[in-house]
Amino acid sequence: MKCYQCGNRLSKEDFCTGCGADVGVYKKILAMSNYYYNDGLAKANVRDLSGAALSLRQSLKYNKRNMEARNLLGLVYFEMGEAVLALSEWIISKNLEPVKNIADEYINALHESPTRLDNIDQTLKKYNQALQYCYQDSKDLAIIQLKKVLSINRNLISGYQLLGLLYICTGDYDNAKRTLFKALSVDASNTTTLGYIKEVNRLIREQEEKTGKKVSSLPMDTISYQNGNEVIIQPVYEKEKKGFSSIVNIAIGIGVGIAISWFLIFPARMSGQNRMNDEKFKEVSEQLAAEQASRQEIEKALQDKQNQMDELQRQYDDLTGASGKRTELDYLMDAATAYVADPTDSLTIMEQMDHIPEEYVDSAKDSYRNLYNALKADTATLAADQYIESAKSAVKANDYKTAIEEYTKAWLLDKSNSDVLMNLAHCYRQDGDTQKADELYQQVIDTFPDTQNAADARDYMTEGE
Amino acid sequence: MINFEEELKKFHPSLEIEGVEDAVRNHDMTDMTDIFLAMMKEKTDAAIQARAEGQAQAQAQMEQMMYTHLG
Repeated sequence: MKCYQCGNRLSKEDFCTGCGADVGVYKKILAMSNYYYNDGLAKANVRDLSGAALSLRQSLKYNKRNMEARNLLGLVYFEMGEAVLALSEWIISKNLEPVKNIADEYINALHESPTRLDNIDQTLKKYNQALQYCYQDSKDLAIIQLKKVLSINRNLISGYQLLGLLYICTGDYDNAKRTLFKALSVDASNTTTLGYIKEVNRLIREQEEKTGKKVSSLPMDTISYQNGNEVIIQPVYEKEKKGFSSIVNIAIGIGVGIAISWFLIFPARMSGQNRMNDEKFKEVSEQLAAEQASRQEIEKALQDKQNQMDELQRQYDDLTGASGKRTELDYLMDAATAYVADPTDSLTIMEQMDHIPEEYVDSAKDSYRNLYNALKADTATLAADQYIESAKSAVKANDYKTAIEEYTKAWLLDKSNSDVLMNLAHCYRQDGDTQKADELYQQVIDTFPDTQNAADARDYMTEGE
Repeated sequence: MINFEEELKKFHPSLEIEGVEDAVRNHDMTDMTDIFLAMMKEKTDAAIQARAEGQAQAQAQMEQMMYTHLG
């Protein structure tokens, strides 16, 4: 606090220690201003906006330079829906104290949102229009206009009050009370609002007494409580009757809870569980598929090995004779055994040796080939003679088929005997196969050209033709 | 009993945005400190004037006495 005359900081004394001016009254004036500011602040905190505005205006009457009071008054006006009054207070505040003034922020906040400012202006114009309708006694139009205003500017106290007054005058007490309750939720202790509510209640009671019926569904009284900086005002509802209705409500609550669990929570949990199961199933399926592939590979490898082993076993059996199939070695051994048993039994020996192909002998080991050749040399001539004898016996019996077989064997063993070849040709001719017979006659002519048989062969061939 | 006409007189047209300038300009800024300062100024001025008048009166008396005694 500074002296109004010299600007010196004031002490506890009632005079200025700098210039000696009497500051006792001056200090009391500033103290009163601060007192009303504190009162206004306390009222604003409990949402008694109209009371706060009154105190703050009083504070400014004592000291126009009380910036806290002026800025708070602007805020209170703004909360009451009177944006223009709020703006004017902040502008004055800004002019009186240009630096470090929070009013600057409030003004900037409004200017930064031109749409909001425009909306506020529109609602104020509509409110004034509604007021004009009232003056012209057009209550219906005024009500419609005020409803529009309050749907945009929900804090305009004078709007609620005027609308409430219109409802009272039109006899719509229910809506009047609703509207006035809304006004109370903005400004908790507005005397005009409270007066209208009281009047509405009186009118409702009168009407109920006249008609004997309940006129309003709303209760007569209100309760208010503070929630932080907000003062909540709501009608006093009758206490709910306990007893059977409580049980029914609890049962309904449980039912709703179960329904919510069943339709919302349970499907969500089931869905989550199913998703987890699907993931596990997929994982297990992949593992199973991998194991199956691995097993198939192992089985295939095993089958290959088994086949290889079978092939080797078969080859081994063939070689060792364990499979029952007789090998070239077996035939040679049988032939040798027959030779040892009876060297003159050339037919048995040759019969065994006939099973051995020439190619095998050529590719066989030397010991095998030597034994084969020795046996063949020893038995070939003798065997050939025996075949010739058998063939002759067959010819006598007119069995040319057997004779052909026997002469063929004899020819294969001894290809130096032209008689054998000649007789073989005869047998074919006798058997009816003249073509084969002519081939053999020609062979006789070619192989033994200067023999009697060759000459005879020519005759037979001619005879044959 | 509410008289609608009487109640309606309590409601005044709200100031519009265009009216801010006028509202600021026409705002009565006089406060108690202004009145107090004016009163103090008036008091001081009165005191100064009284002192000046007293001095003039004293001077006139002095002159009167000098004429009387010195002839």
